[in-house]
Amino acid sequence: MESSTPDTRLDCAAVVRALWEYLDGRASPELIGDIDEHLARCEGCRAHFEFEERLVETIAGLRRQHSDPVRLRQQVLAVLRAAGMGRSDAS
Amino acid sequence: MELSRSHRNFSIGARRPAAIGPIPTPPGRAGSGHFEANALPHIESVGRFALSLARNEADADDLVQETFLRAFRGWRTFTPGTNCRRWLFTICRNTFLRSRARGPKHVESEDGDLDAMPAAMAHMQAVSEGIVDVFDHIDVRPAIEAAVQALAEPHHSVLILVDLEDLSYEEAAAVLEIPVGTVRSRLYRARRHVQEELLNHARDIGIGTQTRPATPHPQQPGSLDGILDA
Repeated sequence: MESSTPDTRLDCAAVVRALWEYLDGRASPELIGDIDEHLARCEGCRAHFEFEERLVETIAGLRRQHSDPVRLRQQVLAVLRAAGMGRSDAS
Repeated sequence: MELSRSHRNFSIGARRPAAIGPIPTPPGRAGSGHFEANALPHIESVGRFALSLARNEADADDLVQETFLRAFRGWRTFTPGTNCRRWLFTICRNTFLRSRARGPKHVESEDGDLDAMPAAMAHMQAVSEGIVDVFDHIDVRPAIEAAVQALAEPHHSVLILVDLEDLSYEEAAAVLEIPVGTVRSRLYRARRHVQEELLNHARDIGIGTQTRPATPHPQQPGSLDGILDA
């Protein structure tokens, strides 16, 4: 519902600038509220945010795992033992 | 209209506020027993980070071993009670950089907005080309993974630390020994590059052969028009 008071709502450009701060949880509560309010009424920005959110979610899911973490651990332990780990506990 | 906003539900958005201090450098009193208890649990995590940096497993293995060897030998410089994983990441990253020839000094903008804006314009262009629904048409993961792997330094490391290893901007800044603002600008640029590569991939495989109007901005029609002038 439109108000008769001066419109202090964020415009699209301001919302877009804050996109990643918002998605990363770094926006202030006040800014989050303003962005939420904007997204509720702006289909274009909402679509953009949802696209970027899916992009970053997919990136976050890319964590590569070592193919053989047990072997990696054994290699590291071997190097460390050769360097003295476990021989001089208080060194 | 119900929105499922990410800052509440999205794992990255839910990232805890970061306020961990600078990388510890003053002498500590940690013995090697503490090293085993504090450092060794992070072998797998450092292994992932090393793999992201080195991009092949053989080099990553060498990097992990060198990282832990340096950490063991320098364990007295670790301050007990501080973030050991972050300390190991710093050693890993510095070891990696020392192993490579330095390229020309990278000049970059510190203004993340300069990348947020083109990302928005690219999205609008994608809407007009009908490729914005790429997530619903194909498995985007291979294309995004390739784009992430193709990222050049220094942007690659920032994206790995923040988006994959879930470090805060401040923690990534401490690992990389750069200002938080630089983390921000590099992260946004990295994400924009990945977005561009994904959209190019969508074009390459023929998604969006029909042109359609861009989704309007009903509240402020045309208000993004001057976005690149900002």
